[in-house]
Amino acid sequence: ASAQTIQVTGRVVAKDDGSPLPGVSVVVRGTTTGVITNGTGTYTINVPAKSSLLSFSFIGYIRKDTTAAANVNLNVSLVPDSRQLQEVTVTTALGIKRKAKELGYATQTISAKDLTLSKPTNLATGLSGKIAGLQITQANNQIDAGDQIRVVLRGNRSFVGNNQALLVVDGVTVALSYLNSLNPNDVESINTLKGANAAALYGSEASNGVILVTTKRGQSDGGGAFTYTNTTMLNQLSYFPKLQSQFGGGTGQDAFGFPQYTPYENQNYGDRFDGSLRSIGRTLPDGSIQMVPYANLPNEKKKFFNTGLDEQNDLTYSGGDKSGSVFINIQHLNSKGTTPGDKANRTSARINGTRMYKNLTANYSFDYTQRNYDKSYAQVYNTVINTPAEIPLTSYKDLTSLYGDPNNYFNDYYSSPYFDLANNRQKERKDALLGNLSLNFKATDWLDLFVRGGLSTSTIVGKYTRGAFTYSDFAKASGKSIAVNDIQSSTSDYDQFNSRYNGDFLATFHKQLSTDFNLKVIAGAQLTDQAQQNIGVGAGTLVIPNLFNVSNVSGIPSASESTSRYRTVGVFGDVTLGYKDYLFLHATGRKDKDSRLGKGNRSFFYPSVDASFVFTDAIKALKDNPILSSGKIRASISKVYTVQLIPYQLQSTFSTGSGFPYGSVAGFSVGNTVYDPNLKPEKTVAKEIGLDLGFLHNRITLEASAYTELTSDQEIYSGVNISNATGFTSAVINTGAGRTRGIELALNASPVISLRNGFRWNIGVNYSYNENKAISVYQGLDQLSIGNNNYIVVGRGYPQLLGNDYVKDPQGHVVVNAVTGLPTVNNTLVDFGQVNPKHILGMTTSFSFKNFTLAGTAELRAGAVVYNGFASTLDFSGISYTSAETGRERFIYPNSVIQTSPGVYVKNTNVTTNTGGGGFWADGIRDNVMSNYVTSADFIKIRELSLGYDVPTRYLKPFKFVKKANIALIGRNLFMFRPKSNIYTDPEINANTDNAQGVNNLNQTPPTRLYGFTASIGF
Amino acid sequence: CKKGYFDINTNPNNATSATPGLILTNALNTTARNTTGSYEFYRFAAPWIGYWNFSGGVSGFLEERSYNITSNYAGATNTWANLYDNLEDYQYLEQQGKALNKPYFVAFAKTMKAFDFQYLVDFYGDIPYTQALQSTAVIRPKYDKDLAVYEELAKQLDTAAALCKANLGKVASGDVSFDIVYAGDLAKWGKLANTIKLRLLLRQSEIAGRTDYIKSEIAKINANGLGYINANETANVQPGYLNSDGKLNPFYASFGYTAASTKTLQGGHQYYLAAEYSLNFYQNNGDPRLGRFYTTINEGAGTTYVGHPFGPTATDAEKPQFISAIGPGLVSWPSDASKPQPLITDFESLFLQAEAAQRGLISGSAEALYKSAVTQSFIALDLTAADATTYLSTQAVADWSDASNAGTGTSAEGTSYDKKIILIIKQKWASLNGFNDIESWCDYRRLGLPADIPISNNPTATTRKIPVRMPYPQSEYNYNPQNVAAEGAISQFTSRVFWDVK
Repeated sequence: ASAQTIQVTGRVVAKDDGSPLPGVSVVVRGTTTGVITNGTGTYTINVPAKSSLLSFSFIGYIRKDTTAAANVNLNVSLVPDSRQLQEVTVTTALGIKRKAKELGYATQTISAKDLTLSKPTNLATGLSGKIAGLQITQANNQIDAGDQIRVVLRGNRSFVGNNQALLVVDGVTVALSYLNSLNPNDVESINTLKGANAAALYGSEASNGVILVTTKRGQSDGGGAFTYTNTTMLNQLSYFPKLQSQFGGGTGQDAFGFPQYTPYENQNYGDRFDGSLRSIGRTLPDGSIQMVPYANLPNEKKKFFNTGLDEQNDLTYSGGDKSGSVFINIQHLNSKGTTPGDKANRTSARINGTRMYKNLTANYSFDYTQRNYDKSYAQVYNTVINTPAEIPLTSYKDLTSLYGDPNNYFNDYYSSPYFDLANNRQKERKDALLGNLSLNFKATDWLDLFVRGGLSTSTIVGKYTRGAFTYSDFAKASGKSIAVNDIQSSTSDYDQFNSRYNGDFLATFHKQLSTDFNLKVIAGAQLTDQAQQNIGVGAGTLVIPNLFNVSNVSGIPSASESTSRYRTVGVFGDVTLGYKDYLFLHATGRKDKDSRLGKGNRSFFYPSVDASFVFTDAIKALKDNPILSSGKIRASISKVYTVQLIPYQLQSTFSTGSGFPYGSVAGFSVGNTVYDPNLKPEKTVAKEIGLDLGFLHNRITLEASAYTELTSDQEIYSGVNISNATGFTSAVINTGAGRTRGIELALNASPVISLRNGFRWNIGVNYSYNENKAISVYQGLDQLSIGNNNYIVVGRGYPQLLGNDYVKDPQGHVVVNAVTGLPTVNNTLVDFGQVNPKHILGMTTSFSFKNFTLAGTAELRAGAVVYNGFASTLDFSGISYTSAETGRERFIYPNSVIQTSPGVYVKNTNVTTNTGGGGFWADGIRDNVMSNYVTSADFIKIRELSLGYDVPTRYLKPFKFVKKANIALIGRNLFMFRPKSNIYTDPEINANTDNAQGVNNLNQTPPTRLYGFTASIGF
Repeated sequence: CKKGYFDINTNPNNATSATPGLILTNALNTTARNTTGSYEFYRFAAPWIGYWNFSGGVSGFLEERSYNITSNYAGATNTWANLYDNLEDYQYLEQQGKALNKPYFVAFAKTMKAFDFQYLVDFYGDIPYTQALQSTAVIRPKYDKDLAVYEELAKQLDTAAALCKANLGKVASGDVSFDIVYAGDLAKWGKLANTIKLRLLLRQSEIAGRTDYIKSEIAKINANGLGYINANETANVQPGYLNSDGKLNPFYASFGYTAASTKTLQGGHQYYLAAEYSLNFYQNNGDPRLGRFYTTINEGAGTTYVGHPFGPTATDAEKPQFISAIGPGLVSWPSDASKPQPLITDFESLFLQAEAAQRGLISGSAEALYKSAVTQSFIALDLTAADATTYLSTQAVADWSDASNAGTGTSAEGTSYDKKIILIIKQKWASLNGFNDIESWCDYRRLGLPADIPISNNPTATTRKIPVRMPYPQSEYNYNPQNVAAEGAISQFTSRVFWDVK
């Protein structure tokens, strides 16, 4: 602080209940200097003179102006304002600020205060459960999982196209994975535009809704402040599948049909544990052989995985004065994965700034992120599962130890997972740059001109390596299957480059037409240019082992390249007509041109109309009602076109024939995909109605919406499968239609209770119901595969999970063979249900008392199924709980029937399966049948619990430079409740982030529980 | 915007046009990779027909061991997909050949389409033919009767041979190098077309009342006068295979070794080991081909030859260390990595001719053709003609004039045959090991020969019988449901191909 100024501090509370008000804006009148009150309602501001007038304003309260006078300690209480809706402005598409009351469509805003109340460590967790209709799914828990996130608003519209929301940070479109790297403390506010309606102005990309993130600008009081935050989280694998504990290694049976112990087996179909000392593995060259007690070692698999660690440090500077502000954040994240040896780090720097010159305001932001990881690409979960229960797996960590040596490792068929991890590595570095500059020129009092340029680029450089290993002659001759082939070293390099340029231009006219009518017109244009290049070079075998350079290749290196580029230009208009400040009509129109489509289909126009009616303002009797403070009804209809194609999907191609060129002999093949040169954009017509109510001075708010969206001319850019007999396997065409319907409710009470002693209880409940239905697929076909056992089925929700099941009688009993007692597989696909939840219920609550805040987020998702793909391996290896339930004895297949003559089934009471061992569980009868591994995907999760403490200012006095400090203990994913039938794992973890969900496999290790703390100090 | 601002949608990654020659090279290589050089052609037929068996070093192969194959079985799904994909390339070649007035391309296309379609019929019976290969114009092609397809293929092959004859020596010099089989030698292409046709006709040998049709079709072959593939005229595909991953000879790539600098076994080489039945046949009959078809145990490091019986789940002792593997006559490391891949061998053509002559369908000495066939089989395995002569004269199982080969014998189903036919078919079986086991499977279905091929005794094999067909692939039930449903329920044990009348 400079010498001329005076420092004023104080606390702002609510007049009605005396509770502290965080987030109140405190501004020196006539200047742009201002600060925000902290979590305990206190503020500190430098004022230029004693007589300065301070203005306190806060959403839902009447502004209070008061003189600083000689007071260096100024406490203020604010009176609630029942006419809140009027004051609130919402950032909508393209950064256009509109009054909340004039919006005719659903938006949901989360303030910095609500977002950071539960001290989330990143935005993705910060948003989960807080927005009705929003579903965030983390695909994976590997070290690089941060990139693998799926964010969907209002469910799926497109069959195969992108259904994910658009993420816009400070006006620049960025990848969704950005949610995982944004520090919630840097966020000013988040607004979601939920439907196609809200997003008409963003064009095609926004047809799935938009998440608009506004980061903080620097404070403008002439001073500067630093905040340092450390977040440390421990990451522990949990929710392991239920395993058997009775049987050890083995695969075969003796002459009498009894299970036989095999010392070098990966499967668990040996005899029952008896505690005797037994040999494992094969006899070693020195004649030794490892001996262990033949008994279950319950925690070896869990212990194989480490406790992961994420440590994030943030340093933020915020400063500025009348003519501008600057906000700088530097962040470093260090991660250690749960898989031994996996590690990652991320460093980013962000600068946001504002400069003001008379009528011109310039905003800029600049962000650089570098992310590195070093992980194994080996599928060790598979190997860990394929380890019998008596094996002391973690004792093989040292690869140079006698039994850890890959030559001597006990397992004949799988190499040691420790060896696999060490020998198969992937390293990747990503550099991402984001920049954006905008200029706003207030030409006259009725005309604003705005122009913005944005740039986002990223470069990824990565390398895979596989080390060489030569098995000893002894291992080879011993009969050890895995030793038959030596491991050749190999390497491959890849590069990916992405860039996106944006240009926006906006002109805003606003005019009061008469005392009753107000008109606002926006005209604008938007331009984007996106380019991508991927290059890969591989060396399958290296000449000098372990010299990981592709030029060290034996033979010919493989090479690949793909580049793509496309451009879009849109022009749009937006008109709002207000009548007496309670009735608003709003219409938009946009015309796009997209280079990905053919000349005749390249341009398309789409409009939207919405209306909002604030009945509490319009109807006199409702004005200043003590209970109902505000009320609004709204309706909207819009049409949006989307281009789902990647570039170059209009023309058939010829691919280089497999193996070609052989020397100078070239060869080409007719591609397997048929393309439609006249492809049209995908069309969505969305209709929506809503009701927003505020009660008790808007302490309690309810937002309700109902919507229906019809998406037709679905662009199957991944290709509709067609009969091979056509000569092709897929066709990229427009086809089919799907409808989505749903409701959303958001109820917030802040506070529910607020006592004079400072106790506050806030609660927020978000519920959404979403169902979709495929109306048609393609030329009379009734289903369309979209991969991962997901299908679009006419008349059903989409996607649905389909797979094989046993032959069943009409009542659904499994039909078994009268002789063998075994069921048979029915390869006609069975519809197991939808993979996305119909119901999502999120609840956030917080209790604050004095300087403590206890906050929690819970989420329920229901109405979906999941295919636990990895569980087939559990059965194959005989480690699954189910495989031991019948004691490995022959058994009567539960609830089975026998067909005595065609169509006649009798209950099976006496025919047992001809085996209860591996022959049943591992040899295709059980493990190849998908229905055995499909369970309900429903769950209730306590996603987050946190206990925060704001260190009172008086304790900070001794440390002069420290202005604020707080600390929070955080637990994430602590509790999960799921149906009993799901004995496998957390159903939320998914194989990928595309539309095909509800499937996991061996690439996903069990999910993690996280514990940790976050601490920050301001100075 | 500037003019052309949006005209940036030209594919920079893939070709959007290709000359017929470039399509031909790949199509021929793809046929080799998808048929005689493919994993698919051996994965089930090699064990069923007594050549190979599964290693105890790997689990799985339940469907093959038990004959319990379904429409999802890879052996059923892959060949369907691969052949139709390959056919589309020949379809394009035929269209382009016509459009560019290059009749030899049309001849190549028709010949190779017949080659592919014949196997589709032999695997699946009724198949889409008349409405096939028409892209999205007919997305759900109807199925044609297998017999009708066979008859149409015979006509197409006549046209192909006629085109070859009419254009002898007229292949444009620039197009010669695209023919990676016969380097533009249209006389040999004519022989290939005629040989495929002879194969098609002999398949129908057991259909009652079919002899006149067969004879009239052979008359058409005789009319073009180009003859059949003879000794040293094997239809070999050779684009320039070399010992580099992705460019290996396809059979070697499936059942041999990788291109590593040390001898590294491909998966298929470890999974498939010698079957007791065939190994004993060679070993017990003084057949020098034993050491060519199989290694000694432990990948040649041992001294004995050991096979193991087909059916039971392989035990731990039935691993490469203790069982003979696929031998150096088929996959010699590393030299065979670059050898050509035969589509139809000269000895198969000679066996076909020997059978036809013995049946009185063509002129010529059945005995001479038979002996030439056995000799060429020896030569294909890098043995000598002298070795063959010794074998043919000293071993009863090969000696044309041995008393045991006179009179009649019976097939697996008890049908009586001229023992010379039995001799020819058994030796044809003995020679096709690793060259074309689908032909042996077809002969077994057609004739029940060799009669003593062991049937799986796997406990899960509820029907103890070698399947007579492949089920239609699941993809057809998914994407062409009405048409495949019209074929009715398919059983691999009873839904026979039209020529399989036993």
